[in-house]
Amino acid sequence: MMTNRYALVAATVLGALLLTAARLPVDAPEWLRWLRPDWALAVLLYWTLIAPARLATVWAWLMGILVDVLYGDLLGLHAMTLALAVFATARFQQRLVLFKLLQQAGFVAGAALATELARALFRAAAVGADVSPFLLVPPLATAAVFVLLVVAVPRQTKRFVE
Amino acid sequence: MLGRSSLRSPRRRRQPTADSLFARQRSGIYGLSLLIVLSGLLMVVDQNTPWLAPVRSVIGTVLNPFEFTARAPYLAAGKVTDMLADRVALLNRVTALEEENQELKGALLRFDAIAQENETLRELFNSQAPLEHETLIAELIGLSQEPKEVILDKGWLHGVNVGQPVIDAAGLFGQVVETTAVTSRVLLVTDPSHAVPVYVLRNGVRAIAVGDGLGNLTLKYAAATLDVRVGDELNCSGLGGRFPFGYPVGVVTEINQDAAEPFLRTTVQPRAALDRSRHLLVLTSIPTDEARTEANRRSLPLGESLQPGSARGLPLARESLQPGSARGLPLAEESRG
Repeated sequence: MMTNRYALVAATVLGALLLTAARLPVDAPEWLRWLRPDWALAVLLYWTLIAPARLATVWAWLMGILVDVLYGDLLGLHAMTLALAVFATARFQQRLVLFKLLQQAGFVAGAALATELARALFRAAAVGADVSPFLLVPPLATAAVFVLLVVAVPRQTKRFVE
Repeated sequence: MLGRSSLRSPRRRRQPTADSLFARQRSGIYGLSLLIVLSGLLMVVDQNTPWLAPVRSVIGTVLNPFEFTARAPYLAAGKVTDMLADRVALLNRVTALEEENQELKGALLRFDAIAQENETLRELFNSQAPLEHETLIAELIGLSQEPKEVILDKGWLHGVNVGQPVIDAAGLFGQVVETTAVTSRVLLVTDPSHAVPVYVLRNGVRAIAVGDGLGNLTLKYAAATLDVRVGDELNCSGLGGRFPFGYPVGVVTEINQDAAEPFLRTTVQPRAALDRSRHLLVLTSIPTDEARTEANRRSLPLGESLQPGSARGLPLARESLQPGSARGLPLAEESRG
């Protein structure tokens, strides 16, 4: 039972990293990349809501470092934003867990948007990259992935803590 | 969290099913602050120094299996397409390639002769810069938009190193900014943090071409009196030492002069097909910084007066020897080290 849970957590985390590493084919249409969700955030927030880990923030930070390397982003950028998002989620977990799925998805979208904006601002400050208005789209995809996780991951494992 | 809160375990007694990893915590604000400070530190160091490059390289190499697994479907799809490809179409393609190969070989015959002559002349002038470079063909396996980079399927195992220029069939493509064992990241010439020392082919005027982040380049600090026109070809001037002399960089497509501004606004269209090329050449025999410094010291008689003996003084001396060097600029080439 216990090993099952860990296996499931590990599988989703590895899956998220794999999808992060996956790149669109070179000749893919431009708009496709705006639908790209923040896989790591969706998985991390899912597990934080379902079964808040004691070191969730640290795990999120470590995963963020890996995501930074995969994306070739400023080292520490994803780490910081993911850690912050997971911390906030863990803080309000008891309240959030009572929400309806749609409300939870709304929260995830909000968190995704906040992290995305924070990263865009940091990048703009550091490298001078432009902030695109399409920034609003990926958080919706992230929320969709979250809903998918809630629906698809087997029920029994949701009784982690309670 | 870290430190204090992780020691706070009595709460767990009320939840006998929860193990240490999944137990709830009350607060982790200290741990969070620590992580944020750590992230900030990492970002500052990463932005301003090349110290974290080995860390990235190691983590990236560990993550290589992910990249390759993620890439597998595309590779498989490519194989299937190859298998299903029409025989006639393939034959036509082979014929076309053979013809092109013949043409290129013909052109190369003359090039060889000219290169030989040039080499002899250079020897007469005691110049040591080699004309030819060893190259490595690499295939593009991924893109990233911010920063504008592409990922190649060759890494340090194949001899790719940070700082090496990358070209395609038409011109300068970018430079390697990060390598793992079997992949590498190439910063495109159009990225705002990328600068190339160039010269105008028509009259030899030197300038620095910086990416504008929108798919073009622009000439940085081009004085209003600079002799540059629309249609001018820009080539690498080789002055920074990083990009070898002569490779085409782009064509000037637009010049705006605003009387209120001290500098020209120019748009340079890159020569390389940045959004189309799939096979690129990494120039692997570009001398390292140390070797270059050594060569400068040997070939330039001025060197001794500029370099006060100690090896520590050399990097500084190199910049003063090469005023056009992009390395001397604040947003220079190595900024993303």
